[in-house]
Amino acid sequence: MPGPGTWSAGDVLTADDLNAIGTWQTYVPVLTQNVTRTATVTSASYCQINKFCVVNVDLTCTTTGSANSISVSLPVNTAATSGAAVLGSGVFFDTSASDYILVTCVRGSNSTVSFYKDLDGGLLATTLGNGDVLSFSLTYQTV
Amino acid sequence: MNGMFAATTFTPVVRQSAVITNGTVHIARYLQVNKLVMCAVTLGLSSAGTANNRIEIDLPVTAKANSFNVIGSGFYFASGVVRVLRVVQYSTTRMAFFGEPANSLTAYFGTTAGGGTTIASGSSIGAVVMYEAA
Repeated sequence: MPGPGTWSAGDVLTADDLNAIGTWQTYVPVLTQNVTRTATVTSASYCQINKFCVVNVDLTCTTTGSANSISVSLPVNTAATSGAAVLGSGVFFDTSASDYILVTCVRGSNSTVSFYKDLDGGLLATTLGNGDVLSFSLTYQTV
Repeated sequence: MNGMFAATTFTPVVRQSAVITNGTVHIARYLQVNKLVMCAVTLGLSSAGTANNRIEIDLPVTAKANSFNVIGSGFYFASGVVRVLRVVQYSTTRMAFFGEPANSLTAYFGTTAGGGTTIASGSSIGAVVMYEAA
């Protein structure tokens, strides 16, 4: 039976139903910069309890992108917000510059997360390179 | 069910090679719902660390084995300067930190490559993390 938030009066909850609360699932995040970019997913998991969702992702780009905003798909769609709501924080490792950049993770769309870095004029748009790393942790309300 | 989202207090252990003496613990609590752990810790530090070593805090609950993965954010404050940090799961029992500048995956905060910060007595550190329990 699906978890909290889907139960109705009269449903009989089993031990399995309750033990499933707070468990983590893996998913395959999609890295996009203009188009989908291949990546090695070191880890990508999420825990959803009703409309509360925690996501931890670590991936390494394995191709070259083209300068444009970077986004990563979410396991569960976010609730609608006005503006670029902050979802969490992370780091971006720019391999070509050998530089770690602290990033703030913001809602790019209902199904993607995008990134801000300090003193930039917009979303993180560094051209992706082979070996670049994105690692982040999010907390948000699902749709 | 009543205890499902109850927070538990724990005694934080901060390390930079040696275990650092805790000063005032402002908050050190976690809540665990099955395999989901949410933890908030902020405390003063009353002894010095050992230079060129990772700064770490013990996790309140053993984590599922994972490689480098950001699990939250944090800060370090000393001599009137705040360092904004990202928290990574370093092992199943420790969190470590990343700040700027850092030039490699092993340039953890506290190491020379990670900025060379050495914990000073009178400084403070904090983190909020969410991770998967073992």
